[in-house]
Parts: sequence; C-alpha cells; structure tokens
Amino acid sequence: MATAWKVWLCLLAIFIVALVSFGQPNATVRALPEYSAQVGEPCATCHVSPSGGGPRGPRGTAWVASSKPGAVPDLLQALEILGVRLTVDPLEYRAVTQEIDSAAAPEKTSIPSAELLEYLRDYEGN
Amino acid sequence: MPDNLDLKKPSDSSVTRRDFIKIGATAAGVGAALWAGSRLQKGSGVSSGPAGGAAIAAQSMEESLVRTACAMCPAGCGLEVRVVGGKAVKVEGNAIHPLNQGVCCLKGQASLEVLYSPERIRNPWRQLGARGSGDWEEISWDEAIDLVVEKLVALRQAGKPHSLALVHGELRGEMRGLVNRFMQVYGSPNTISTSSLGEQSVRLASYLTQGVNGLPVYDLNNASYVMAFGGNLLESSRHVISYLGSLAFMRRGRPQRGKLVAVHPRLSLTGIKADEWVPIRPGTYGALALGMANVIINSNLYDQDFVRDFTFGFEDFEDAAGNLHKGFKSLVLERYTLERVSAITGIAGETIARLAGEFATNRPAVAMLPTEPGELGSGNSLYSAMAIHSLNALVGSIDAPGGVLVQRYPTLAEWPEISLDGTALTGLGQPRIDGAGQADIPLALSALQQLPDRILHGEPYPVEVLLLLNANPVYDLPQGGRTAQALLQVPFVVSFASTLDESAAHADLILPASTFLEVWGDDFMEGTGYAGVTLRRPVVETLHNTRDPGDVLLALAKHVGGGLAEALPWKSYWELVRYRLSAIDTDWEIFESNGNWSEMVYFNASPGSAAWNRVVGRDRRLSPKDGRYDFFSRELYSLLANPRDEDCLPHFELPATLEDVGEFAQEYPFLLVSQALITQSQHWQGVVPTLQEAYGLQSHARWTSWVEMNPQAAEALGLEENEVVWIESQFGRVQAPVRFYPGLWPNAVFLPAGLGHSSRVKWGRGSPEALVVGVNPNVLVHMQSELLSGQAAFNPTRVKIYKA
Repeated sequence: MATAWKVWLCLLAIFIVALVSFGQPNATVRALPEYSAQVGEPCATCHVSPSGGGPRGPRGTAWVASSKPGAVPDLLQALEILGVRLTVDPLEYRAVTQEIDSAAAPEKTSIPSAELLEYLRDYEGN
Repeated sequence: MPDNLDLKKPSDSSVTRRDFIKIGATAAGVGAALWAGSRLQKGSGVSSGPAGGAAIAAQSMEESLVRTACAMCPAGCGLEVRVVGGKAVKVEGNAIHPLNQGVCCLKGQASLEVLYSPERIRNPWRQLGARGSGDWEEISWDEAIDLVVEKLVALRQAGKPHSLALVHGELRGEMRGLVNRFMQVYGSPNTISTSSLGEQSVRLASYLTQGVNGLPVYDLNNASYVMAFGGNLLESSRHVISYLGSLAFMRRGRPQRGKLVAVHPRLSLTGIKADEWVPIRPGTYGALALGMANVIINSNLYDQDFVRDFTFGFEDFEDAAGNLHKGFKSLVLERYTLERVSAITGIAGETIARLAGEFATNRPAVAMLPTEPGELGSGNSLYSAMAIHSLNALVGSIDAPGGVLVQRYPTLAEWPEISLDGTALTGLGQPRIDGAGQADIPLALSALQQLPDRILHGEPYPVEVLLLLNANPVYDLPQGGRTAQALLQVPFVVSFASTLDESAAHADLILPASTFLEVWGDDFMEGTGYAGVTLRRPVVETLHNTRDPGDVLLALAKHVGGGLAEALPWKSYWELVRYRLSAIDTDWEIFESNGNWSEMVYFNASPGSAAWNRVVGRDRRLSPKDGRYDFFSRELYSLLANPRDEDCLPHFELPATLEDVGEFAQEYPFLLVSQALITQSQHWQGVVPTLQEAYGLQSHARWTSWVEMNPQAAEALGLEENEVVWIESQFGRVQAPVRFYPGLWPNAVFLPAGLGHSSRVKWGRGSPEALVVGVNPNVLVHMQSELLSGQAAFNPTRVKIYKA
C-alpha cells in the first residue's frame, strides 16, 4: 500500500514538473496532419519531407512565425515574413522567349597569362 | 538491528524521511533537466559578441548554447556548443542551420578534443638550435611579432618583397581575402595554396566549359540519378553533411526514389550505401564518362534542344577563317567506343551502356566531380573533369532542378581601395616561385608540388621568408625528404600551426593559432546553392596564449606600416569581418542569434532567361559570354598557342602508370590508390583520439595504418590476414598489416591517408610521446605536375608488397 503510494507521489511530482516545463510557450511544435487539412495543402508545403515532420522549409517556417493563419504564405511572402531580403530578382530566372544568340565561333584573343590567373584566383567563397 | 536492514522490512507506515528525500531528489533532477533543456532550447544562453558584452559565459556554472561554424572539414556546418561554467562540454549540430539541420558528424563531436588537446602549442615559440632540432624557447607575442616585422621590413627595403612566400591550406570566409590583400600590397605574387593537390582541376574544368570560376554544387534533393565519379561522397566530399541529408531524402524521403551510383576502385562507405558500386581501374574516370557520352549520343538520348540552343562545339563547326573543327560528337563517336572504353576502364561494355542509358533516361541526372586530394590526380585530371562535367550538359542538367547548381554568395562591403607602391609593383611583376602560370602549366592557380625543388634550386629566385598557414607541406608532399630540405634552405620560416606538425618542426618561429572554437569569423555557406554566411564565434575564452592568424596578419600589417597598414586598417579580424558583412541586408541580432544568415531559396535559371548568363559563361575572359556551355572550350582555344581540336575538347589519355607492361610494371605490380575517410583529421587538429578509435570504419583498424588488398592478390603472394608487410615504391617504403578486402580493384592497394604524423603524439591510449600512429602514404609518392592545369599527379603510384 505504502509502496504504491510512493510510486504515485513520485509520478505526480514528475508529471507536474513535466507539465510546467513543456508548457513553455515556445515548446517544440510537432507536425500534425490536421494542419494539412486546415490549410488545404500537402505536408511538403511546409516540411522538407513530403510525409511531414522534421525540418520545415521557408514556407512552413513563415507559416509558424505568422501564427499559423488559414493559408500558407507563398514562397516570396514567406521570405518577406522571415526577413530575407533577396539579392536576386526571381523574375529574371524565369524563361523568356527572347531570341537565342547564335553560337560565336572561337577567336584568338590574348590576355597576359598572369592577369588571367590573377583574375581566376580572385574567386568568391571559401 | 542495523539500519540498512530496516528498509527492507515490509511496512505499512507512511513515507520515511529517506523516501521523501529520494522522491524530492528525483523530481528535482527531472525538473532541472527539463528546465535546462527548455531553457537551452530557447537559446537564452546564446552569448553575444564583443560589442554586446562578454563573449562567453562567465566562470560560474552558468550554462549556454553557443552557435558557431565548424571547421573540422570544409563542409562548414553550423554547431551548437553547450558551455557550462566556461567549459565547452558538448557539441551538437545547429538545428536551424540550412546545411546540416541539427546533424553533427563524429568529427564535429570530437572537436572538443582539438580544443582541449594537450598537443596544442600554448605560447609563441622560437627555435634556438638548428632548425628541426626541437630546441624551442617560449617568447612573448610582442617579441614574435617584432621578429617577423623586422624580416618583412628588411625584405621590402632590399627591394625583394617577392622573396616572401605564403603557403596556405583551406581558408574560410574573409580569411582568403585578407591573405591575398596582405600579400598583394606587400608586393609578393607568392600566395601558394594547396589546391593543386585537390580541387584545382575541377575549378578549372568548370571555368573552361561552363564559364563559371567556382566549384560546382549538386542538387541531390531533386535528382533522380546521381553518379559520383571518384571521391568519397558520403565521407569526405566538401559538402558531406548536406549531401548525406539530401541523399537520404532522395532515396527515402520522397515518393519517387532516386538512384546513387558510386564509381571508384575501392568500395568505400559511399559505395556500400549506394544503389550500385561500379569498380573501375584507377585513373580512368574520364574514359568512362566519354564512353557513356558515346552511348548517349549514339542513341539520341541527349537533350537535343538544350544541346542545340545552349552549348557550343557539340557538332563540327567552321571558324571565322573557314577552318573546319572537330566537335565533341565526332570525337566521342570516333574515339570512345564501348570496346575501347571497356578495355581502358575494365568495366564491361554492357555495364557502361546500361549506366549511360539509365543516366540519360532518369532525369534529372547529375554526374558529380570529386575534390578530395589525389582523386583526379592521375595526370589527366583536367580533361577527365571536363568529360565528366560534359555529361551534365548532355542531359540538360545545367542549373536545372536536380542538376548542377552555381553557388551564390552574398554581396559584401567593398574592400577599401589600395594603392601599390613601387616596391610592391616590382615584386608583383616577378614570376611565381612555384612556377604556376608559366611554361607547361599556364592554367595553374598554384603548383605547391613544385615548390620544394624550386626552392632548393633557387629558381627563379631564393625565398627569404616563408609563412605556413594551415599547411603542412613536409607531410603532404615529402618528395623524398626534399620538402624538409627546402624548408631548411629558407632563411626564415614562420608557422601558424596550433600543434607541432612536421613543417612547424622545421620553422624558426611558431605563432600558434587559436582553434576555431576560440575565435570570431565567418564562413561562406556552400553546398546549398543559395547565398549564406555562418558566423564563427568563441565558445570559450582562449585557453592558451594563442591568437587568430587573422589578428596576427593585421598586427603585422600595422607594424610594417605604409600602404600595408592603410590597406588593412582594422584593429581585429572580427572588426574586418563585421565591416564586410555589414552590406548584408538583415537584422544583425537575428543573424547572431541564429548563427547564420541565408537566402533560403535557390532560383534555378531557366535556359534563355535573363539570369541564364549568370550560370553559364559568367566568368569568361577570352571567349563570348553567350550563355552557351562549351563542349569545345573557346577559352582554351584562345589561350593555347596553336591548339589542336582535341586540346580544346574533353578527351582521355591513359596515365603512364597504368601501362601494365614492361619491367617496371612487373617489379611494381600494384597501384596505390587513395580515398579520404570521414575519420581523417586535418593537420592543425593534431591526433584526435575519438577519430583514431574509429579510423578504419570498414577494416575495424584503430590507432594504426593498414593496407587493403584484394584477397586473390594477397593469396597469390602467400600473405595472411593481418600479416605485416612492406609497401614499397621507387621513392620509399612503409610497413602495415594487410587486410583482405574484396571490394578493391584486383591490383589496387589502399593505404589510409592522414596517419603517420611523426612529431606530435602526446595523448591517446598508452601512447608515449614519440609514438607515431600509422604511416604516411605520401612518402611512397612523388608528385609531378600535370600539363596545363598544374594539378599534382601521383595517383595511382606503383608499389610492390612483400612480407616484412
């Protein structure tokens, strides 16, 4: 009897502490299928994995950051919400119907080797 | 009755005092753990930078999570280091870092052993006796800086700034810019990197074909077919952790599973985890790629629209003078038939045909280039890399989802204008000491392997001062002991080593570098394609009297004065980094808190779009920036004097080492191949016990080298498993126990790299101070320079094996 009581007391203590700890406002949010139903989009809209759960992509991150509204922001809206200021214009990356230049045959042009190599050594990145 | 028996008695009494304490302690413990976890999850303990107050947690028992950038390998993952009472106690991945998303490999986990290594040099050292004698004295930083400044000033006063050379390994973030600027304004052309031992040809191949001066990255998340030529994708590639995640997603995280094919003479962990391992004769990757191209073209499986509209030199063509030139298609169809390629590579013709068919019909498909040391170093690296990369153009995988991406970088604040004085201009006008860019290697960015002989011969002029930054040439390229001799010939050698590596042992002065866990800095996020930066920050106070090499270079610039001080006006390296990053349009507090900033999204440029010329032809200097991928390299045509058509096209030449005929091949019947392992540490890290414990993940070898042989070859020599043998080449010999490994090309042998350091073991399982762990395979090779690219050619090296 007393043993059972002790076990219950112990469990209660753990439960209370756990409740307090996990009740923190920024506790980890789990992926839930009902979110998909709520916004009417597949799990992959928000998560890297199509089956949901795990890391979120920009749209999912922005959706959570904007308190889970009824619709998931599109990619550009999401980046704006996340404070990402793009250095490129996405429109420039889309196909256009401009004329394709004809191929230019090779020509002999000259540049000092040292100048070319200095240019090549000055690459971006690590 | 003893008290302890009392507790075992059945009792119906209420809770005893001991029970109460137990329950209370349990609840408190659980509560503390959960509270701590919750608190740490919030990042409330993330420290702020110098501008924001104390850099690290105080010396109380305060806990914090500090986000920083890993430097254990070139991947540059985000880390979260748990710090308790000023001590770093645990390393994990930063969950909000795009590259690794919380993952931390065993190298990252072991980085605390680098931080707390007893091998670290704790103060500046000056060598009192003869170089290499080990007779060191500790000196102050002021003394050390004065010694270097005195030499640098004297060189400039003598009008010989070019007599300063700086050899460096991997430089991250702003560090490369700082080093280049320092050397340029000082007046020396001799900034020599270790790239000629590794990725140089890949960078050049990208430039000569795609017109982009950078290392390609690959969109494995969206690929359907991935073919890794050489290297060890899942252990040692430049973006190993992000690629691990991408491949897992490609194969298990999405509805349609992709396929990974690993091509290598050795079955590595990558091959084991791949869907298919294709064993290949060492040094023949280029031939396989051209054989596959033959099948793809012959079967009309290539992307005909893309090839017609966005490439150059696929078909034969006439130049402006009306001369007819051979195109890629003709060359491949004439020269790289299945029969010939099969004979070169040792891969069955039907296998090559199947691989080609799979590659061309399971788009998006991507062919990956290796960047690890030695992987393409067979003397045909440049054209092999061009051949492999051309497969991507054939199937339209250039900047396409699931294909080759062009890594983007943030726009940073401009470096201040510099003015070069007459001394600097004179120095910069001198030829490079390593010969890069000259004679037979006009495209070489660096040619480190040529440095020892040229120093020994005083060509083209003597080196007076040599700085070694994150580089250990005595270990990397012993060249039969000549590198050590060369260092002894240089009047003044300075090393920034943090442990006493083989090259530092031959220095006059060691300016010990702090580890990456003790310094501020930045790291360009590479591997995702989109622009990003990871912040590096100290997780603990500097443990010893060491400094960040960036700070040391700035101090040297200040004391040398003149234009150098004006060009590098920052008081600290962190101040420099903050200045450069100030142009990034983001909230700095969030940047610091997250430990990284990125654009998060990669936009693929559609062929013909306004952005297309940024991914094809962007960096060309000698040929048109017309958005066409060059099968026939117009850059090469322009650069080379009287080029043959083949000189401008991907082609394959069999390395002389592979000729299996003649007395030499009979005397040395085996081919020594290299392959980097995930357990391999970099020079400055010293011996890392945890990595040593796991060194041979496949062979189960620990704290030792081993030589892998195909069982048939081993049995033919009458060897038994674990028997100690000699591995001997023309240039040296080493001993190791033999391991039978069926996953190895029949006459190839494998020795792990990164072992055999001779100067620095102070910890580890029962190791006395002078113990050498394993053997250095580099003593078996002699590195020569590949024509044109200057890539070090040494792999494979012919060896013989016999009982010790």
